[in-house]
Amino acid sequence: MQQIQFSGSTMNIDIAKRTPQARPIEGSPCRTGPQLASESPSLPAETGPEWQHKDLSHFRNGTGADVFDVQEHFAKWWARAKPGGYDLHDLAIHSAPDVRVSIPRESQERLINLASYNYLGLSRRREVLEAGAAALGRYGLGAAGSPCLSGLLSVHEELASELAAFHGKEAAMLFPSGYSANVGVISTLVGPGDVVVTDTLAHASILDGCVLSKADLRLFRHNDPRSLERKLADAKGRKLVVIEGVYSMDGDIAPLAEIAALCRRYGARLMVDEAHSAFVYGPRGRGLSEHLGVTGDVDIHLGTLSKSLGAMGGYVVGSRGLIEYLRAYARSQVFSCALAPAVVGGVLAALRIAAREPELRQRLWHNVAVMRDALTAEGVDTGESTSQVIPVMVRDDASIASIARELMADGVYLNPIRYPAVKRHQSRFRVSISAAHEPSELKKAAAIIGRVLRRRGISA
Amino acid sequence: MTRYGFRQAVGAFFVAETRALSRYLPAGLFPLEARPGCGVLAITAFDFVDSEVGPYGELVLSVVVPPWAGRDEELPETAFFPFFLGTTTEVSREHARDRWLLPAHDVCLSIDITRSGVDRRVRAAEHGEEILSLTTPLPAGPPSTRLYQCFSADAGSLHRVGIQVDGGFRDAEEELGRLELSHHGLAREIAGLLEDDIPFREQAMDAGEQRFGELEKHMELVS
Repeated sequence: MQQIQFSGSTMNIDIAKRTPQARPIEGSPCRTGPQLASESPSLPAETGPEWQHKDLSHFRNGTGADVFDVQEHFAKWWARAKPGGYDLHDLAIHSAPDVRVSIPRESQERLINLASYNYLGLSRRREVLEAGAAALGRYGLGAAGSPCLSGLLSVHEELASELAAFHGKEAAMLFPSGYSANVGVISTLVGPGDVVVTDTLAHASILDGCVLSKADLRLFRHNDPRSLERKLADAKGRKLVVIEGVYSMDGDIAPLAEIAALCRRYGARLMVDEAHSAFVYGPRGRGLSEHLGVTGDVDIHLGTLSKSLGAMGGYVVGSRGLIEYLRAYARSQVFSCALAPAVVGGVLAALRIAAREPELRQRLWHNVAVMRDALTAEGVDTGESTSQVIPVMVRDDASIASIARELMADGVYLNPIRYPAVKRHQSRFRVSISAAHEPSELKKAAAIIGRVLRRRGISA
Repeated sequence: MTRYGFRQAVGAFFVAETRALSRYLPAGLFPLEARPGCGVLAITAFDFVDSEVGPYGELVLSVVVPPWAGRDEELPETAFFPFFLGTTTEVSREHARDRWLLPAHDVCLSIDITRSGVDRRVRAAEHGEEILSLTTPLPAGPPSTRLYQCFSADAGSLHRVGIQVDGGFRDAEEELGRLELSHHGLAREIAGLLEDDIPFREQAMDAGEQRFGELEKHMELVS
């Protein structure tokens, strides 16, 4: 029973007594069962065309008598929302996702691509393609098994070994994706009775891993060590803190040194997802932890093969004991087919290039400076980013899709990002810089972005 | 259809632990989660100027829950389960209890909504003792019509009602709102729920009208 004790009176909210159990009334069955986590609550949107009053968050939770009822609501909304701009998330690129891309549905020109993760430009390097082709020829199309049941090929072992060496760790383990790496590692390491603490802007895969673990999940305010400390201070038992190096929607970096110090003080293990920072930050490209000089304070280092290394997959590096334990229990890897050998062969070549060509990182950071300066000169709001991910803040949820179309018509490919992926009224484009971009192309793209935003009354 | 004309209204939405919010809900309802493990506590205040029980102020604490809509019904924006309703007049409390089965507090509160530039401030007090002060910097918004849903319970049943709200509407997620809680019992109750005392979303409505439909029995509650 909830009791609200007022200064002058007492109010009893005796839900348990009033409503101990529920059963649907005939003809009006209701939704029951556990509430699934959703990204955002269904609260009102801005005014505008009727369909814009709703967004993807409204249909995330079931409603009605049947589990399919919500699909009817979604279908009616989607029929109007999709042509209103959501179709931009279904755009097929008819070329390699290189620095220029072909999207015939929107433009007959090859567009400057500012939307791909190919930070070091390795996905199309000849050496990488040849290594992938060689692995394809040697091993065939697929691994044909889980890593623990016939799917582990020598090329997988070779890549894991070189990833561990690259990061200066004892061992590494490959996962089918970055998503499965986070889900697998977190849900293996903590469970009921444990406390897992993560940033409010942590990637969905981190949150899903936390939920799956059934540990006590606590969220701290984005990049706020004081908030983290409040969450750790009264946490009992085993504790794991999970953060990202670079947050992909804002392009800002974690205050890793402060967070590592808090983990030490409160006896928490620290896991860092360096999906967007490995191979980009640090003198040897080991990530933000190396950049900030705290590699030794990070217990679990997670990365992806899909960004700087230009392919797909995820990995974790750490002590041999950690990796052997994860190999035994990380279900997202144990119960998945191993990565395709062609991918692994290509990634192995990409990793070797990333290790031996630090000039790629130098070129990337030069390009980042060129683009940031050019956008600033155009009066574009780039938020708090300090990384190779630069948000172009539009802050107009209703018009960002049409602005995206204008950008494509003028020669730039960018994805609109809006609620619930980011906060309401904080819609943006996310510019991803690559070492493969030519500075002149970036300047041209910045000029187009500035021109289009000014035309729409958004830039300064 | 029951109409309530209002001069202005302020809403603030806070992240609160799902488990804590669940304690306020009857069986069959679940907090809608803003993030895993985090439901939403809504604090709303209305300055009603035209109703069948006369003008009054209202302060409501609700758990945000998923709305319910069959295939052929309109899907509401969201749904609320109010677990505390305070008003400034006895007749309005009786009305809320009798008509909508809402958990009206049994003492009159003083509830003021004031504007200074874009700042809107809600102050609620009981017998002169301040309960809370909520400030949101929101300018007036364009006219809008929105459908919400409200659940309420009595000893044997869970009920629901659709509420259409017309009026100027504005919302923001800039985290610029501020909630100040006193040492009053209700304030301490709220403080114990909140994961964060800064609202992640704020809303303001002006010169509008709430229109309640018929209260429908949603499900039977059996012991």
